Amino acid sequence: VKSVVYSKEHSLVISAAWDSTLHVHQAGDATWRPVTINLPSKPFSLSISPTKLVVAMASRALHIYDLDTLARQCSASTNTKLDIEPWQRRESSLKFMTRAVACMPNDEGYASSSIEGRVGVEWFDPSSDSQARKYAFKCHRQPVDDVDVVYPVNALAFHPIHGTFASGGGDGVVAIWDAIAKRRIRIYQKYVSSVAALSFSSNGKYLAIAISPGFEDGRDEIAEGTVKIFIRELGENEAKRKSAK
Amino acid sequence: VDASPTDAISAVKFSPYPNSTKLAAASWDKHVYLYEYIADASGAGECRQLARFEHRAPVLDVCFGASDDELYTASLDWDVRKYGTVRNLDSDVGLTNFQN
Repeated sequence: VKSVVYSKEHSLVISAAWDSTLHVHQAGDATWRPVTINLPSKPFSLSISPTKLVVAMASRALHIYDLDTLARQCSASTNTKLDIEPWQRRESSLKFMTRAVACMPNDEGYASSSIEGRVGVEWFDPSSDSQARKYAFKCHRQPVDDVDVVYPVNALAFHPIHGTFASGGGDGVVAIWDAIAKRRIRIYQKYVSSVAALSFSSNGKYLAIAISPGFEDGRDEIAEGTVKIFIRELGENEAKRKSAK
Repeated sequence: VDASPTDAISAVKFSPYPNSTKLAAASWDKHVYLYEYIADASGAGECRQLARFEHRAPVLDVCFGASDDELYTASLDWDVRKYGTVRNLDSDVGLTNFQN
């Protein structure tokens, strides 16, 4: 089992496994039989918003499920294996393998990241106006002797209040971005190892940063101090969108 | 955070519930950790470990359930487990096994 998410709006526990299946469990109901849904590829990342579930998979595939529909179809069926058509099927806007996906707290869209130092931002609304707003940008790169060394973007997290988001990369760097203005708000000092996971607290005051050595260097031992969780207390405006000048 | 996991961290999640500063972490060291971040008056904070749950295999993801006392975990042994932390902070109460 690769990922698990919980929808408090629907009391659903949804997990994704590397055998290319999605599993839906109803939390409070002991009689509920978990429902299995087949996916076209291996899932890499799940993210949930109040109404949607985004599943990022291998082969740059991406499914968006509507949680209402998903909950209804799962509870209406006595079958434990269901073929549920996602609300939308998309191809990633990034050229390389998807690493992480995170939904916007306002339920309008999501950001995804790839192993090749890039982040894309897209909106759920299928209208061409909304789709025209999508964009991608390069990040987590470092010039070494005129060549850009590109790192994977391992983690994404949206700020629950400001709607900005943080990205964490294999370069050990955490940056905060304004998804609307398409600007970088802040970049933090490099950590000693790769950033593995990020999370904002519900009040938006803290950012948890987990670092771990990447498996890239092939070493098995974990060097002292390379696995750690940091909590960064954010100043009032630290993750806030800058007002337009 | 003191008492960080001892092997690579696969996930870290703050509780999504208002005014909760609980934090869960999943690790390749086969444990899920639950912490709570408490800020003191001076602004300096401390992250206390509330619980640690052992799994049979590396843990790849964790999320909060219906409250910040409920965790769901995903591990490499094909299981999704549910942990409640209400009564006894040191042991896993009400372990549900969703065999996938």
